[in-house]
Amino acid sequence: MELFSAGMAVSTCNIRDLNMARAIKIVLFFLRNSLKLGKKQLKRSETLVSYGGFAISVAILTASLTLLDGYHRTLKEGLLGVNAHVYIYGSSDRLGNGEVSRLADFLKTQPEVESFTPIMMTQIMASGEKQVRGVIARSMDWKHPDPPTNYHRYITQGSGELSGRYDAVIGSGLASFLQLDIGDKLNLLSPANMQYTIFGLQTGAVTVDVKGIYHSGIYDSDSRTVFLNREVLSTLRHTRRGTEGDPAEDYYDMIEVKLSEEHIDRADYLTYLWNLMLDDEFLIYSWIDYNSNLFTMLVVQKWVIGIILSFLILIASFNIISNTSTSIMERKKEIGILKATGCNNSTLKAFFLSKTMILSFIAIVAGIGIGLLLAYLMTKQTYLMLKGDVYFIEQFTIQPDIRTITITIIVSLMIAVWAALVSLRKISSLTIVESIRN
Amino acid sequence: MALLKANDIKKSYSDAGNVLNVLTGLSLSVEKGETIAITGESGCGKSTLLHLLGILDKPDSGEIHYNGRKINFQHKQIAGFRNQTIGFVFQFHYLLEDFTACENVAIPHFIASGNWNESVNEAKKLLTRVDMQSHYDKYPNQLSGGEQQRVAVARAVVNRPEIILADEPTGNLDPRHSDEVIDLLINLNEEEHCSFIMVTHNIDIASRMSSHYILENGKLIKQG
Repeated sequence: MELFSAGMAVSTCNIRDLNMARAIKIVLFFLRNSLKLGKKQLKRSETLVSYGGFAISVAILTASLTLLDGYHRTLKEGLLGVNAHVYIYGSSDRLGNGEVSRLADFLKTQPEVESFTPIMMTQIMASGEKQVRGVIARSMDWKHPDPPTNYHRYITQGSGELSGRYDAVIGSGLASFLQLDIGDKLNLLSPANMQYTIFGLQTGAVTVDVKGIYHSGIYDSDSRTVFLNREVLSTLRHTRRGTEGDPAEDYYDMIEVKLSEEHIDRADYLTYLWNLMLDDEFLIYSWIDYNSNLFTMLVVQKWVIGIILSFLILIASFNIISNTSTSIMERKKEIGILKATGCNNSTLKAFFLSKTMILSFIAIVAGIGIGLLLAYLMTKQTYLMLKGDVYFIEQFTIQPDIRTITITIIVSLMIAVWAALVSLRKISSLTIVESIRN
Repeated sequence: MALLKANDIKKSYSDAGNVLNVLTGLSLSVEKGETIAITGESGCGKSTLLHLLGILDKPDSGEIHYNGRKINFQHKQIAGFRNQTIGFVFQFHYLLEDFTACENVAIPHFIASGNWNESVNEAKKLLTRVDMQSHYDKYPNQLSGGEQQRVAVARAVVNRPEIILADEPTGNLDPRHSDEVIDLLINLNEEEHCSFIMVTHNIDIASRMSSHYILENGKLIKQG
């Protein structure tokens, strides 16, 4: 097509660049003028309602995703705090001293391993004055400099040291349920510890002193775990018969392994590798094997909620379409005059698009701020709490994630651009003569 | 070579199924520097003709040529061509209400040049030329009808167009302001050597132009 260069002494090869640069300057000029009129325009209730609704929908999305990220992080930290990264079991459900020694030598050669400890555990009944509950009793090597689990960091009352033979550390949930405090007695009953007496079959009870109470935030752990010394556990498991000094050999149930930080998320691969290296003699599982379904479900849940709430933003954007269309029609005469004086459709569209994008961006930023505030307030309130036995944790937490916020901004901006472009088609359809006459 | 040539222009409007043929094969040739008055009855299509010649609207058929080149109404650069070549003065001033007098005049120049400071300087010169030097920063609603029209005239000529199209520029003015605006336009025509087509009802004004046409039955008939 022939170009019309009347009055313009420019070479045709850079006309497009000049036009682009000039168009940008024109758009910026009209935007600055719009800012001068900004206060008047913003006070219009239609504008406030349109972009306010957009901001609220962004706020809801942000709050939801931030709370989900917080839940995900707290759950992962909590689970990794009360669980080891890798568990090694004997093929016959028990590990003898020889096997433990062999595994210890193997684990020392693995660079990913930070620490490990053999564990004894059994299922027992714990009773207070009025209540009884089934719990897991397990040993704790409280002298270990870097234990595989973080229970020692979760101590909230008393001490984590089991210095006395009959000392115990219990979870806050269990303490609350059995109404126990530091120094109180805790009765432990084990079916394995039954003895025939002249009075018949009696369950041997072991009474321990509560020396420490911990709170990990993981409901199951806080409600159903008791830490004891190995000797008391052996008694409860009835693996040491007779009197003290009986040389009967005890056994371990598993070895807990802690990995270095950068290898935690590779735990499943490492267990696969170790199984090969140990010729499948042992049963080796990672925290991922136990929890992969849970975390996969959390990721899927986050995406589904994100998509559903994005539709909320899409619906809110219809207000932007309406507002932009109204703005164009209100300025129909102005658009006609500008077209008559030489402004082309592209420049006019760029101006309205820029104006809409600026208002949308302000709404998005405000929405994200409101969303983060809402999420923060959720963590501080106590009326709505999570059910610990369903969700593992009881308290809402937040985790503002820059990636999530960036995706929220991008998705919201894309929706706003789409909404603006839908309305901008009107500008092309406005004829100069009709616009001016109206 | 004629500056502007219109060949066999036809334009009709449809309204509730009825077709109104406004222009029925109109032709016109305008030389450089020529001044033309077009008169006719109300509703005969004078404004329609001016809009077509000013490339504000598209004819149903026929051709319009500027400087020997046929106008392509679909071309992307048509707005730029209009900005550079044609100055339009409407019956109503059609100034932008949110911009000052100086800004209104500067905007067409800014659209062409992209240099705001240069455009403002040019605008101020023209506003001085039309005796509006004390009204640079006034908004249209702060100006009288004659002052508004003078600003509109300055806006029309800011890009030194080759042709000025004026659609009853004095239609809303009293006789004193009307004479001022006509004198201004004629002086500008003499100074800038631009062609000039004015639609008017006023025979006295028409008589001041070098050519006078009457638009009748969709065609132009030359007078005198």
